[in-house]
Amino acid sequence: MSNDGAKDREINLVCMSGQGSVQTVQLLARAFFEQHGMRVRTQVAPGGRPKSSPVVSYLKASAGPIAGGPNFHPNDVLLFWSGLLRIAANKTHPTVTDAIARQRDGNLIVNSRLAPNELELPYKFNGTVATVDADSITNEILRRDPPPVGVTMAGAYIAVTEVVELDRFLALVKERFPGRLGEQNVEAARRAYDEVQIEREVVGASQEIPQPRPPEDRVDPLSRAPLPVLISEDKGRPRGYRGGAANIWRTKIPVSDDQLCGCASMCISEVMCPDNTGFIVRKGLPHQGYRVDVDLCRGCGICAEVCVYDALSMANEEELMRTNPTYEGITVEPFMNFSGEGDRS
Amino acid sequence: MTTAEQAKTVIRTGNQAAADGARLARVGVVCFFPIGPSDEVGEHLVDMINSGELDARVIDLENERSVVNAQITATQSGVRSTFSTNSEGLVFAYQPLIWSPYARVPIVVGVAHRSLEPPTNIQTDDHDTIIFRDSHWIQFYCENAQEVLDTMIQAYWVAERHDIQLPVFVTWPGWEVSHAAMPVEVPTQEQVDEFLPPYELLPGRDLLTLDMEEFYSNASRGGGEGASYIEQRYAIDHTLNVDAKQAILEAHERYVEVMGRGYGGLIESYMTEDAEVILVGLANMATRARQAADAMREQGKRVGVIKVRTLRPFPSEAIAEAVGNARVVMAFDRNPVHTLYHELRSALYSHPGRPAVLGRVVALAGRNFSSRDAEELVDEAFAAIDDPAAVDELSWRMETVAD
Repeated sequence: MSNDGAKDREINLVCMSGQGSVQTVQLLARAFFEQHGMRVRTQVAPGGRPKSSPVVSYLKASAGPIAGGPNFHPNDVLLFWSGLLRIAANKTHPTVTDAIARQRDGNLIVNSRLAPNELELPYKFNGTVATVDADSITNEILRRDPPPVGVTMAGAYIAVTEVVELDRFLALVKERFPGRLGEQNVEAARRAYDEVQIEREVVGASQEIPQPRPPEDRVDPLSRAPLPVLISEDKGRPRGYRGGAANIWRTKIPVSDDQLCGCASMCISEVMCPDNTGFIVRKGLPHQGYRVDVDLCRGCGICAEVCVYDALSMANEEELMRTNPTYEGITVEPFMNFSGEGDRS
Repeated sequence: MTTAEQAKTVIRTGNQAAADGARLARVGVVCFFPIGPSDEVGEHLVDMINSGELDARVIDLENERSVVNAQITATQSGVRSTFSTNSEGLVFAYQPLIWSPYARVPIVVGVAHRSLEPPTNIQTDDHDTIIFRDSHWIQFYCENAQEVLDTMIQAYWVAERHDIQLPVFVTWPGWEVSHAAMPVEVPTQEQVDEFLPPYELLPGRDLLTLDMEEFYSNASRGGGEGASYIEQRYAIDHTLNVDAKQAILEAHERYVEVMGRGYGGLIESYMTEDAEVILVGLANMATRARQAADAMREQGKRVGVIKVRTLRPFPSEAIAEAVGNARVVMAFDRNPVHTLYHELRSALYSHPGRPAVLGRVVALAGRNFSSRDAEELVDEAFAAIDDPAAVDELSWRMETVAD
């Protein structure tokens, strides 16, 4: 085991909610605490919603006193989803951008099918890049979709850094998840430990590192604080969803067999949709059918589960795109306004 | 003493520590309704029940209002109970929560703070319990997981004392404490049993034997002659502002004796003896303030910090004593109604040499508030020593400078 283990470390774990960074960061904290006797602090910047929004978990481990707060210059960054690189590059989510793009060196470990040298790093980075196909590993072993890749990623992390002992870490995993779930997670972590691809001393493309705005640029806060608006004017959809990543996060989407669709105005799927994205649509159809807003649907599958006539099934969206070049016809842009107007019937 | 009986240091989040506190207090009823970030407390307690660590019943009803009613009823029947909620859940349960101090029901409610809506937000600030300031609840604000655990146990001791009989909020910042893990020393059951006696219902308060005729007799008599409404309110106010302060101090003192660990009582002062500027904050706002104070001391500027541990009862006398001859007192208020600022102004109005009291609203809804932000605010406080008119008495800090 390397001596690096006892050095102070700051680690950022960035995931989409539901992927398991909160559990993982606490397991790693325990490992640092129990194996090196280091002081540890974890912190979580939560996503706004139970699925489909980014979550950043921070870990500090040190021999000395620790103050809380985010890690702006982390030693290690773990990305549970490669799409987060794009979010960091586009600076669409300040917490994610700060957690990822301010890392200048150290270890970057990404959940991706690509090799490390195939990754596009949109910011300046000199250090070790590693990739592991944690999605496939976890999905094969745990059979859950989307896969909770937290422990799998930790396995890859330990392979790259060797800051804690794998076996002792896996013992903690088994303690936290007793029974079959623990065994499966341990198996996934071991596979990631073996399969991770590591490339040392990568030099990333240079791009300006986001800096906090200097004081002179500060704007009058009143100019940025409009009255709360529940419906935006352009598309008539709740504002809270704007900038959400639901559409890039989901893997499946409901497809309606319009021949079977039969509940008219009492559609239970429409009622049960947690994001209010599903609707019965009649216009332009011979009979009627169930459609969702492609921007908002997160592919939870509740609608297909509750549909009385079994008219709905969940289809893999990637496959739909591949087999059907005019895929966008599957769903329709809904209308959502509270004035009662629109093409609902 | 064998190893198994010694207090163990383990990694705990704030929510886990709160659940540990309730377990060690031997709660008999776990009330539960999910709302993030508090719901983990109930989940951990259910895990403890399933693993046999805790002998308790779970009550999970259709909403927070019903759950608090169940908690009140359990407590009035002589069973110690626990419940954790926040923000919208707390507001939903407003009616039974307001009812409990005036019925003298000593319930303890944990709150992992979360901002009030709209706009929709799950991040943290104090506003959800600040709105209960005017309702004779005792309110503790905790800075880290260790303090959450320790305060949870003290809260039952204070609430259930026969001369107090008031409900208590134990609060900690959502996410920043509730989901932040750190090493926490978990006391043994023997230690806690030594500190905290079993819950004993006040004679005549048993729900099953309560004289309902007497209880409802005020309804027709109102505030008139022969009714006791105003007398009851006076007793409650006196209990909160006089007796409860003594009880909290005594609980803290006894806890330190048993566990060897404490938080200063009603307030925790840091380098206030010679300070010119004193920063005041609740919960982890005090952490930032201490970091700023350390940095300013290195520059030779005399800055001190007061962490207010109980917003209600407000420790006016203790604060006045700690403020001493300081020139400026600055509140870091993590709520949009700048409560701490107003409380400090009232508390220091008749203080000899009356220091300038400034209020800064910061870190609402989880906005980052770094120690460098705090340092910039301290600079403003020093400017107020030279020329009080040049500095805003109350302002909002919205932009942030990263550490």
